[in-house]
Order: sequence, then C-alpha cells, then structure tokens
Amino acid sequence: VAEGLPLPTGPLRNSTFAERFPAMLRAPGAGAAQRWVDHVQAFSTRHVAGQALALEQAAAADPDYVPQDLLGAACRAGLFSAPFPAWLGGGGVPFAALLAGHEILATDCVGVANLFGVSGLAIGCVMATFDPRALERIASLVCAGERRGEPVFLSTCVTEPGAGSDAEDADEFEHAQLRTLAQPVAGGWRLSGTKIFISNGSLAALHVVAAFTDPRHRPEDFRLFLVPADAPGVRIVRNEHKLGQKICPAGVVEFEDVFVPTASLCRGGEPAEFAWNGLANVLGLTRAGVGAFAAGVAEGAWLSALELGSRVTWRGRPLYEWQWARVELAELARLAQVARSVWQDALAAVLTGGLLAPVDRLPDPPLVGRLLRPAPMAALRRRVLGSDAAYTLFRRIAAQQTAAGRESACGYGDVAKVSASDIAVEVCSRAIALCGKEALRREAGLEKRLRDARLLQIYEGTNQVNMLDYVKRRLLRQVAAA
Amino acid sequence: VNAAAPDWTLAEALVAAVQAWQRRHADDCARFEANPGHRDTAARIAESLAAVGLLDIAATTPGPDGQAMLAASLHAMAAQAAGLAALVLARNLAVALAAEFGRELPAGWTALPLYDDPDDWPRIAGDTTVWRGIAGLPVADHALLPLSIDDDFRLVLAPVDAAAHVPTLGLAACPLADLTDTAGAVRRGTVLAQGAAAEQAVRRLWQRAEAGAAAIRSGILDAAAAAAVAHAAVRRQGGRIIAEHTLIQRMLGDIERERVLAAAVWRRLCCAAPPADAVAEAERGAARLPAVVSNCLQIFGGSGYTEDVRLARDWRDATQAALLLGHPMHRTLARGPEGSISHA
Repeated sequence: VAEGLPLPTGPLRNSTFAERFPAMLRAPGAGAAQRWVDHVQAFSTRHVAGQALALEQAAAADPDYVPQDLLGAACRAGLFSAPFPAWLGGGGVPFAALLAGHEILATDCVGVANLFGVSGLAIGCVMATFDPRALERIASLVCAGERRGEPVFLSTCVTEPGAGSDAEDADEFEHAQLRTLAQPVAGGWRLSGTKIFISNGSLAALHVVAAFTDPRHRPEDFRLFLVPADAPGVRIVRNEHKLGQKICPAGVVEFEDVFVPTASLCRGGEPAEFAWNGLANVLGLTRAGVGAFAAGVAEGAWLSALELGSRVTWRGRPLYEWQWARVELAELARLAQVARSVWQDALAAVLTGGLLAPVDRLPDPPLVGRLLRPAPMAALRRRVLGSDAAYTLFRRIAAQQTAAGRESACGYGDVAKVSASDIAVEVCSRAIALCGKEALRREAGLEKRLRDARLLQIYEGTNQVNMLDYVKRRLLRQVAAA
Repeated sequence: VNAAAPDWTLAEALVAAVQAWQRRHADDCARFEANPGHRDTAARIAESLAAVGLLDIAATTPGPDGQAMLAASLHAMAAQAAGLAALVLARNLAVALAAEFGRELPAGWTALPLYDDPDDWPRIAGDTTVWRGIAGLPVADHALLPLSIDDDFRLVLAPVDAAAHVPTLGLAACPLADLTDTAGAVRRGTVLAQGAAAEQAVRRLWQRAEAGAAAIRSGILDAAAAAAVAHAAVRRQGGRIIAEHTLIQRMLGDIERERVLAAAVWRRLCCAAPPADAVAEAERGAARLPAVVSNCLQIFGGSGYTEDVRLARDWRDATQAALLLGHPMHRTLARGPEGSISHA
C-alpha cells in the first residue's frame, strides 16, 4: 500500500456473520447461530452502540444505577432466557452463537456484554453440578421473569475479602482465606460470610453461593447453594467504584445467618467431585466466554481507531494516508481476528470434551422442547426434573465425560482467557497510541474500551492464575502421558 | 555555573520545599484532581507554587541546574499528584520558550499543547481555527501556541477565555480543553518569535522538556511500584504472602528493573547535552510505562481495579503520561531514515 492513498469515508458498517464467524458457517446449527448473532447485532446497534458512553457516565455517577430501558429491551429480545435449552423453557440458543453474541455486544460495550453474560457463570456452575432440580429452578426463574418483562439476574458469589483467584481452585482451598460457612441445621443450612466483587450482585434475584461446611475448607467441604436475594440475612453492602465496565455492578454481598433449605443445595454427586471436576468444567466454559468478550473489545477498538483516525492528521495529512498508520491499523484488526480464533478453539474443546460434551447428550431438545417449553408445562417440568429418576439420569450423563476431555477444555479456556484479554488490552493501547491525544478524550470512547478491557485480565482468575492452572491442565498432564 | 552536569544540591533543596508544599496543600490538590476545571482552586495552587519558585524555574535558573530542579520537583510531585506535575511542566516549558526569546509570561497557569508532537503543531490557513486538547486551558488566562501561518512559524502568546474541561483518561489535574479562535485572537496575539530559526529553537526546547516528562513518568512508576511491593508483603495466597511466590517475585523484579531505568534516565536527560542513548531510553521507557504500571496493578488483583486503590489512577495517569510531548510512536517516526531525531 503506497503512501498518500486516501481512505474511503463514511459511516462504518457492521461485519456480516460470514465475515466475522466463517468457522461457524459449516458447523451444525449454523442457521440458528446466524439468526441469533444477527438478532444480537441488531439489538446492540439499536440499544448499546450509541449509548455506551452515556450508560457508563450514569453508572460512574451512581454505582447503583440500573439501566431500566436497556433491561426492558433485553427482555423483549430474549437475552436472558437464551442460554437455557428449550426443554427448560429457554431460547435454546447454541452455545457457539451465545458466545458470538457476547462478542457482538462487547464490540459496542463489554460492560453491557458482562451485564447480560455474567449470569452465564451462575448457569455454568449449576450446569456443572448436573442437578436437574437446581437447573430447572434457575431456568424457570429467569424465563418466567423475562416473559413478564422483568429482568432476572443470577450472581455467582465465590470471591471473598481474603480469597480471590484461589477461591476457584480446589488445590488452593485449604490455604485460601475462605470464611463463608454453611452449618447444617434442621431442614437445611445456616449460611454466613461475605462475598466481594460479585458481578450483578446488587441486581441479582438469586445468588449461587459457594460455601464450606467445615472451617478447614477442604474440597470435600465445598457446596453450592441457591440463595434468593430477598432471603432474610442477605444484604448488599455496596457496589465498588470500578475503573471500567461500570454498567455491570460489582458488589459486596453479605450473608448473615441465612437459612437455606435443603432443597436449595445443588446436588453434584460427591462434594469433592464437584470441587475438582465441576469447577474445572465451569472455568473451561466461562474462560472461553471471557475470550469472546475480549475479542469483541479488540474488534471494537480497531473499529474505533479506524473511525477516530480518519479525523486525525499527522504531519498535515490524514493519518491513514500514511503507510505506517495503515499497517498499524491492520495489525490491530489482525489481533482481533486472532483473539476470535482462540475463544472459538476453546469453545470447541468445551463442546467436545468439556462441560458441554455431556450436555449435548441430554434428551433431544427439539422434541422434548416443544413438549415442555410452554409456560403451562412448568409444573410438570418441575415435577419431572425434581425426581430422583431425573437426578440419576443426569449423574449417568455426567459420568460420560472423561477426565482428559475436561482437563483439555479447561486448559483451552485458560489459553483463550489469557491470550484474548492480553490482545484486547494491547489493541486498545495501540489504538490510543495510533490516534494520539484525540484517543485520550472520554468522548472518543477508546479510553473507555481500554479501562473496560483491563478487567478482562483480572476476572475469572488473574491471567497469572490462569497460567498456573494451565501448568496443571496441560504441562503436567503431558509429562504423565509420556 | 551551568556546566554539563547539573548541581543536584539545588534540586534537592527545591524537592524538600515541594514536598513540604504538598503536605500543606494536600486538600487543595485532592479537590483540584476531583474538579480540575475549578479556576479558584487552580489559582490558589498556582499562587502558592509560585511562592515556592516552581512555576518559572527556566527563567530564574536557566541551564542544567534549572532542568534538574524542575525534573526532580516534578518527580517528587508526580508520586502524589501526577496531573498537577504535568500542569507545572506545561507552565515551565512555556516559561522556557518565552525566556529563549527574552520574554516573560504573565503569572498563573499557561495553556500549552503539551500532547502535541512538533510535527503536529497547527498550520493555519483559514479564519477559524480550533486547537484541540490544549493542556491547562480551563484554568489559564493565556496560551502559548507554536503554529505556522502561511507556512511561516510563529510562537504566539494569546489571551484566552475560560474553556470547558474535556475529560480524559488520566492526569486529571492537567485539564484539557479545546481553543476555538473565531475572532482571530490568536492571529492578533503577541508573536514572541518567528521564522525557521525560531522554530528550531522551540523544537529543541520541546525536546529538552522530555527530562520533565520522564521525571513525571518515573514518579508515577515509583509510587505504583512501592504500592505493589507493599501489597505483596501483606496479601496472602496459597498459605503464604504473595511476595514469597516466585511468580510474584519475577513480576516485582521486572517492575523494579524498569523503575530503576526510569529513575536513571530523567536524571541523565538533565545534562546540558543529553546523550543519545538516554534520549532513546526515555522514548522506550515512555512506551513501556503503561504496561509496567499495569503489572503493578495486576499484583493487586481485583482490588487494584477499584478507584479506591491508587493503582487504578496510577495506571490511567501512566497511560496518558506516555503521550506527553507527543506519542513515542510519532517520535520513533521523527527519527527518520537516518536513525536519529530529525529535528535535533
């Protein structure tokens, strides 16, 4: 590309599904995936793209701000029920399409993507227990709320004041400063403790709470509970003043002597089994999801640089008439594409050997879905999925997963999360460098993308903790295999 | 007196005065950081800093001694208030430019295009001109603008009206605003210098100001690194404080190496003729700074991501400070095919 060539001017268009996700075109269910991605793109263009800065400003002024209009639109668009299969009353959107949708939203605002996506962490945790009763409970709560036009969020309460990334790693449980305890009482449990950095904690109708039944907090003491936000003793202490992703609140949630009935305990086989295998399954899936967020941020950052840079001059000429600037912009787009490939690889590993591999073997969704999806079938669905037979069936399905598949998927998740989040931060930083002082201005949106991106290197385990996990999941297993 | 190497005792004395000033005016500094468009607070800060002798060092102590006094003061100040340090840098660079041509500036803050690379100084052709992102403009009564009118370089001192603060990523206490000159006030402003020789002199002083910018970056990094080390000494993970983990030790070691290099380079830039390797190291350090401070934040994990912890501000400030006096990428290009700064 020679120096001095003018860049075409005009508004930026959205990439097509085929341009952005060619690998998904030939995958099973490509039509449904494309419909969902196009649907999310239309939602994002209408409700997020032009409002991202205003939403952030409102949340910065008031950490308890709730974007009611956006949430109402999300209900109408079916964003809340999308992850649940049709037989649970949900949208039955394929997981690859779900993550692609997260990437689309993150391209416009990763805070919004997290706002709608982070319930997926709670859903993943419950899915990983393979407890049909718990799964039915969260699905019916979310889907019924959405039908009424009331957004229902789920939060995942794991991290504590003294325990962050180590609270997600069964190897580290005994050393971690974990304090949340569940003590058995008649008819259930008494839960006490404080959880911090809980995404959507202040918005959630239901908390999925990790707690230990013994202060030694060994893996076998680990349990997951479903705790309604309005249960006596549950309190939102505050929302944090975060550096970015402000529209998705992160709060401190306190549980003071909260009674949790026995039926609200997620049954995941042997408790230690869930601590070791279930968490690995969850992290494989959710870290791929963070990769999708990150790819979206990177995509949005290079597009911002394209848009902003077209108004910037250097040495008296439009920036992109310079060869070096064009190639730098191309580098940013290249990195975004690399990030996308990485999360798609991770998702493939989750689908073939990770959490979603046994889920794919669940009863045929179209037929059962048509039967069980209608709202009047809720009572029947609850009865069937709450039965011992359903639980036994789900345990059998869970048992079909291999350790190698699980470990591999988790390792791919580590790589997706670390690589894509590092790329997201790099692309934002280089985009700012490319556009210079214009990119520092809040109104340009690039500095927001950088602040937002920085959190991706921290949540779901810091990138350093992810790499330590990768040592276990990949490096050490390779030696054992030899 | 002003030999090749500066007399650091003068700098040390001023640093002590600046630190005492910061202790006395901590409330004003915090207020200004939170509301950087507040002209009364800004005026109060300017008046008290002028009394310490920090706003016109280039005029009172020219040469390497003055460079060292300014840079050392900015370094000390940046550890607490990097934005204010940048505003002081803008004022002192403006004073130095005026002094180069035997002129003095009015008291108070001076607005200056502190983020512009010399290759980006505006070229005026029409009647209406907008200067975007002028540092200090919301709190200044006058601006010093290097520009070209009909390809003829001029250094213009122009009166300016209060302009609305444009929020940016960091360095909040060095507020930016856009200057819209519809009435031709800049064209009618006082021309302090004109012509090609004047442009070369201004470019040279712009480059010399790198000592101050590097000192600000070093001050930010010093503070961030100290916070990271302190946190690593108390935060526990895996049954031990994290400072005992070799992965964290490696991160802290990397941070310390960069901190030492950053601390050395601004001192070397204060010499009468800074060595080329120091200039190159400063450029490299500026480009690396955001990533290094980002590593300091990473030591904190999630708590580093809240504005309650200083690391979040340090990281924002560091990212913006990398662009002071023009971005390193542009300065790399300014080296040109000869591999040296083309306008040195």
